[in-house]
Amino acid sequence: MSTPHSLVEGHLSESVENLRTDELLLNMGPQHPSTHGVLRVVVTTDGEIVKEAKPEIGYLHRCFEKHSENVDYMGVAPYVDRLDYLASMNNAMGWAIAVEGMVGIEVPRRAEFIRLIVSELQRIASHLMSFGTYGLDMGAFTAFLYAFRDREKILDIFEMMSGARLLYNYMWVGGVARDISPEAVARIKEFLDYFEPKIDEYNNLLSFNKIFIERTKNVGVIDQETCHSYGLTGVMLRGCGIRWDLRKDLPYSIYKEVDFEVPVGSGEMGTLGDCWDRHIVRMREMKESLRIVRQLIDKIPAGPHRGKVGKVVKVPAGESFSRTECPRGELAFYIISDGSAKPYRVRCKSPCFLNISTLDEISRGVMVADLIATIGSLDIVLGEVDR
Amino acid sequence: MTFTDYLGILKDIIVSTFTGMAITWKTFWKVTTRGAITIQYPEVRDQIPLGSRGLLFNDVEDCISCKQCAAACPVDCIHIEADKKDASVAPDFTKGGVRKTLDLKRFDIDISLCCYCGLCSAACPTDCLYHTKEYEYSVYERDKHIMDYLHYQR
Amino acid sequence: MTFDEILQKLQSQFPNAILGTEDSKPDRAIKVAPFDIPTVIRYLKEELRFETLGDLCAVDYPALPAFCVVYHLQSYAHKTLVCLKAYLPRENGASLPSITSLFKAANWFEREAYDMVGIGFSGHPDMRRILCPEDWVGHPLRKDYVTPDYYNGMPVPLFFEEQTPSEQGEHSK
Repeated sequence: MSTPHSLVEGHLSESVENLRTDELLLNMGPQHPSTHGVLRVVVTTDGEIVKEAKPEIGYLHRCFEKHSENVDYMGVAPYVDRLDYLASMNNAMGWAIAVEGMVGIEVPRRAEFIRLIVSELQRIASHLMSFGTYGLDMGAFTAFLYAFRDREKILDIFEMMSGARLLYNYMWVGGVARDISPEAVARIKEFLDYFEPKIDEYNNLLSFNKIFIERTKNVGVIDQETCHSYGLTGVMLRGCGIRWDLRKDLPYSIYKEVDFEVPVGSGEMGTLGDCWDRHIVRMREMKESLRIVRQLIDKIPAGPHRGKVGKVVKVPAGESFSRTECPRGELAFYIISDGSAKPYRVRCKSPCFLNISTLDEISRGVMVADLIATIGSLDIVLGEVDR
Repeated sequence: MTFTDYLGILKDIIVSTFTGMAITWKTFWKVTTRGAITIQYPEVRDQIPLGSRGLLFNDVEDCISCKQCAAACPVDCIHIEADKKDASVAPDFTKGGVRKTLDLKRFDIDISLCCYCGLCSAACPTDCLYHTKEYEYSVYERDKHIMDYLHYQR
Repeated sequence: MTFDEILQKLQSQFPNAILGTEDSKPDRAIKVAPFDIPTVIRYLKEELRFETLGDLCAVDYPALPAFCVVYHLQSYAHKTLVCLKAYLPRENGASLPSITSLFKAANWFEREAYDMVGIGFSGHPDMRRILCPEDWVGHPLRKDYVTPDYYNGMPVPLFFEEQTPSEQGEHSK
C-alpha cells in the first residue's frame, strides 16, 4: 500500500505511464529538521518518487583523528564524548577499553559495575531520543515530549554522578572518574521502578499505533545480504533478523555475568528488516537494558573506583582494534601506538558512517515521505558520521 | 484490497488512536493536578547538583605553578608563566603545607575554549584549581572570557 | 578459527601474495602484496566466511617511508576478526585496487582514505573527497601536513589572540 510499486501496478498504471514528469533535483538539508543534524541529501525525484538519494556528509567534521594524534591518551576522552553526543558514556567506555587492553590495566570490579550501569542507562537515553524523534518525523509530537521527559531523568542522574549533563568525561582509563554515591543508587532504583511500565505505554502510544505501522512497515527494507555487504551493525543488523550482539557474542567488561536477551526483528508487521522492525528492536532493547541495570544495582561491590594508573598513561608500542556495542552499532577504535605519550594514529570506525551510506540503496523507488521515515529509522548522529 | 480490509484498517486506526489518546489524557490529568513544573528562571533557580562542573576557579594562594593542569588540558586553554622565587624572600607555603618554589606570574584560562572535561582539576596536586557551580558568565567582549586569576575580581 | 589457522590457509593458497606477518601487540596482522588484496579478500569472504568489512583505513609512515592500508575483516560465523595490511610506496600517486565490488562498505571507507591520506583506489566508482570540502588542499592525516593559513580567504586557525586589542574593541562595539 505504501510502496509506489503497488500504486503503479494497480489501476493507476496506465494513466501514470502517460504522464511525463521532469526529474527534479532536491537539496534536503543540511539545515533540515528531519535529517537529525547537518546531513545533506541530494535527492533526484521523479514526481513523488525518489530516483536517487545521495547523502553528502562532512558538515560536522571536527578532525577527531587528527586531534587525537596531538593529545595524550587521557586527553582524547573528552573528544571521544563528542563523537556520538547522545551516547557519550558508551563511546567513552569503548575508548577506555581500547586503551586498557593495550596497557593491560586491570579495572576494579566496582568500576566495572558502575560502568555497566551508566552505559546501559545511556543506552536507554539514546534509544529514547531515537524513539521520540522518530515519532516527530512521522508527525506524532506527543511521543517526543514523553521521551524527553524520561531522558531528562537519566541526564539528572548523570549530572549527579559525573558533574555534566551531556559530555560527561566520566569513564577514564582504568575506571571511572568519580565514585557512585548512595543517593545516586537510590535515584537509579527510583528511575527503574518509574520507567519499567512506561515502555509498554510508549509501545501503545506509538509503536502499535495503526497509522504509525502503516507509515513504517515495508519501508526501507534492508535484507541480510545488504546488511553484510555494508557492514551494518547494532540495531540495523538485529532489525533484519541476525542475532548478533557483541555484549552476548564476544562479551567485554562483565557482560558475561549478566543475563539478558538479544531482541531481533521478525517482520511482525510487514517485511523483515523494515523500519518498524528496527524501531521495535530499539524499544525492546530498552527493556533488556533495564533488566541489566536491575541485576547490577544491588550488587555493586566495595572497593576502589579506579585502578592504578599514572598521571600520564603510558601505552607500549603496538596496535589494537577494539570493538564495543554502542546504541547505534559497533564502535571500534583502532589505535597504533609508538610507545610515546601520544597515539601515533587513532582510527574511529563509527557505525553511523556505514548506516547512512546505505541510504542510496534502500531509498531508491520510494516516496519522498518514506525517505524521511527511512532516515529516521537509521537513527544517525552526525557527530559520529563526520567525526 | 477489499472493502472489508479497508474497514479493518479503519477499525485498527480508531482503536489504536483511542488507546494513545487515553495515555495522553491520563498524563494530562496528572500534570494539571500536580501543578506547573516550569521554573520562572531569573527569579527562581533550579538546584545545581553537588560536583557539577561549571566555571573554573584557581585559588592562586595555593597554586604551586606545577603546570600539570596545562599539560592535562586537551584544548590548551590554560596559560601559566612562572619564575624562580627570589631566595632572599621568606619561604611561602600553601594551605596544605607545600612549599612554593616558583613565583606565579601569569595564570590565564581562556574560558571560551574550555570544554569542562574536568581533567585539569583532577590533575591539580594541591586542589587549588576546581570547577565552581557558576554557570552565568556571558560577556559582551570575547577577550573578557580570558580569566586572569592573579587579578581576579567579579 | 585462530589467527594461525587463517594465516596457514592463506599461505598455502597464495604463496606469493602473503608477505608475512606483523607481530604487534595485542593484535597481529597479515602483510599482503597490494595488488593481490582483492583476490585475498575474495577468498576470505567466499571460502573462509568473513562476511563483513569491519574497517578500512590508511596510515602514513614517513619513517619507512610507506603508506599502509589496513583492512579488518569480520566473521560472524567464527566470531573473529582478521587484519590485513598492504604497504604502498610513499608517493603522491600511490594507488591500489578497490574492493568495492566485494563489499559496498568499502565505497565510503576508500573515499575517506583518499580524503585523509591521499591514496588512490583504482576501479572505485566515485573517487571524491568525503569529509573535507571538494577544494581543500592536501591530505590532513599525512604526518607532514601543515595546516593552511587561509581557506577561500578565511583564516583557518581562529585564534583571536592574534588580533591587536584595538581591533577587538572596534569589533565588539
